[in-house]
Amino acid sequence: MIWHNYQLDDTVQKVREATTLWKAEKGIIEISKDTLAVLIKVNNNKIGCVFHGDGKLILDTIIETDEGAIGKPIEKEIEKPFIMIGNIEQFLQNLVVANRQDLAKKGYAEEREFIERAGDLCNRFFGESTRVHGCGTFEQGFLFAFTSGEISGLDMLITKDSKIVYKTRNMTFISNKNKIVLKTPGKTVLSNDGKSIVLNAQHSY
Amino acid sequence: MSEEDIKEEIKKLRNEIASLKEQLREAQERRKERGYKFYIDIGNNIRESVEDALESVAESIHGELEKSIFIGPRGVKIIKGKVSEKEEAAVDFSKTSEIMNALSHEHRLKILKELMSGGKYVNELQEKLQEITTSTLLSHLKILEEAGLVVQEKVRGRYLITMPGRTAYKMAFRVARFVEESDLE
Repeated sequence: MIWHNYQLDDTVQKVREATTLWKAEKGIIEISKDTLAVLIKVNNNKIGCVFHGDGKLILDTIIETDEGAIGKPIEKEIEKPFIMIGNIEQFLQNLVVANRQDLAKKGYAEEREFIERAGDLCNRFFGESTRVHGCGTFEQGFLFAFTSGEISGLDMLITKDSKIVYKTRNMTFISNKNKIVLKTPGKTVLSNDGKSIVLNAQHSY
Repeated sequence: MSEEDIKEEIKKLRNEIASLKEQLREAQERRKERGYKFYIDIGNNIRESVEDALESVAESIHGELEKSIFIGPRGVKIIKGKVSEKEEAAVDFSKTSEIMNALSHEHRLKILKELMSGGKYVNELQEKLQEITTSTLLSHLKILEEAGLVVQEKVRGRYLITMPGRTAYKMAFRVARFVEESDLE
């Protein structure tokens, strides 16, 4: 699937009730009621959505090793617009057209403002993340792209079944069942069924 | 006995010691002159000798400590080198105190022991530690978590012992065993 020629829907919608976009053993993404949404289309196929509301990302970037657990959970409030790519069909029934009041709650005077902001985010995403262009249709998985503060790069979360890849400026977390890689500025941990290699660890044995 | 009498006694003793030392020195000289191959010098050098011996023992113990080994359930770990002065200076006493405080309760040590065998939910810990109420258990877990000895998964809710937690528990256990073994009575 080529995502360069994406289009944003011209209707801004909102989430009718709090929704869990993704949930797995190690993580969860939730958005609250009235979160704004605009669909992303490629060749008239709905491939994802840009959301803007109050959301939460929880990810247990923890590795269990024979010598104890390493890492800690990530818990982030998602207050800025973010992208979700994947099977959006399951969420469509929870979307209704947003009105001016809904837009005003997030500081938009009209639909076009939100669509333009969503477009800026999509341009950053499709422009920067050339590596994920060939990953497939994401029919069974999801890709999330979050803005991270003032930093220009995007935080990425890619999931499919029990597989997770989470990449930010400072850390990389890759998990596939019992095989896990965690890379932070302080250490790199490679783990397979509890047997682990810790590089540059602060704890000397 | 008056203060003056004591001073006089001390003076006599000093003179006597000096006289004995002189006699000893003369005796050693005579033995040397008579050609004895072996003699024991217990004169002025005795203090230095004892001090040398003690220093030697101290160095030996220090050397052994430097290459101490910890034997864990999965084998032997060798502690290489010693803590440098720089590292020692960088020790955060506040954090150290927090960790020691977290370890300073029988219930918390029991919780760590249960977690040594793998992550557990609160109800699983409750089953194992029935003498602790749920609210007390949660309070202990919070203290352990704040000290960095335990971490809770946010999605599943399990509690896991961390790498420092495992090390702290093993060290506490070893210190307790060491104290027990050192008790000669």
